[in-house]
Amino acid sequence: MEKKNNNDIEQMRSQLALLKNKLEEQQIVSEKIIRRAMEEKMSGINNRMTRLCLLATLSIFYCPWVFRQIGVSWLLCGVTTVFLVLAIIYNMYMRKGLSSEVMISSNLIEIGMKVSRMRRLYRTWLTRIGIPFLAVWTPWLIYDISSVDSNMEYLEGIACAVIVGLIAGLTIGLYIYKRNINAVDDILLQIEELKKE
Amino acid sequence: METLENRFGQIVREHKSTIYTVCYMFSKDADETDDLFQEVLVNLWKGLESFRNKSDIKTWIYRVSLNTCISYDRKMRKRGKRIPLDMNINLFDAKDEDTKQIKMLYDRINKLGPFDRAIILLWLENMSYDDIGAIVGITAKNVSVRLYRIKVKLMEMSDK
Repeated sequence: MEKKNNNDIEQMRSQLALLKNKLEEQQIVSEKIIRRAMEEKMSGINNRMTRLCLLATLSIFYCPWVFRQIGVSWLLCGVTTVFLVLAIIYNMYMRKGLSSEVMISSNLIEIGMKVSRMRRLYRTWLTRIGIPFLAVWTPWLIYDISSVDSNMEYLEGIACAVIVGLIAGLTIGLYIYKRNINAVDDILLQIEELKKE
Repeated sequence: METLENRFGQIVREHKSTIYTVCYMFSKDADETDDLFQEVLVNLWKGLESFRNKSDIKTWIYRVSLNTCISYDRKMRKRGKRIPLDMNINLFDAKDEDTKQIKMLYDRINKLGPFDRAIILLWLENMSYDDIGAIVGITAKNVSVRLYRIKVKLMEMSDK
């Protein structure tokens, strides 16, 4: 009985070895694996960007309402709303033609060009539009609030809230920016390596 | 500098037979094997960044593959968008003697429950009780008890 069992086990081991040998002979094309990795990365970028767009959409309604409650001018409310709308449009424009499906099916040169374009536009947004806008918008907001009420305690409270909000917003924004840029750089590096093969 | 993608590609190439064997033993047909294979690759990719050689790579690959195959929801099979990463092989269609032998192994193992299937598969790979226990999440002593019962079950099956 014991002997039969041992024979069965030995037979199973040799069958498993047979299976492994058969599978070792098979090839998986590395480009497919790498494209799959690129698709995952692009999907991560798109998810983060979409969440930012949703947040901006909510802010379009929320910010003017809060600003009016604390007496901020209509002009600043309008400028903030226009900026948020532009941010959403720019965000979508930046990612145009870069769905995760494109990573699977398009040719590498085309993907590389689109990803590089996105990287350039993203950087432009941050350095030439986003940060300069905030540099003007923040003092304007504090000035607007201070002209409504001259109570020092109230002003200090509002200024504090604005600065904390600004630092938190900037930290999150820069963190997302860094993650996205790293992912974009990884995709570009991968495309370069695939082109060499 | 080695990128994560290169490392992933290398791991998949080196361990494809281990991954595919697990997927094969846990699927009902060739399509399901391919689905599982892709699912395991996705999970390996997701976990690679946090893996950082904390344990042996083979142990980690087995753990991810078995967990994926055991918990795979067959009703949620995703189709369409995926890139076919499957290997050009059909082990369910036994045409030659080798494939018949492999199918025989599949038929035996497939009659066991998923947990027992995982244990016997690891044991057939000559893994120690400690390693098997570490992968499936039980003690080495429990592995030995379960293995004894599995062997009895297998023997009963071959007697029938």
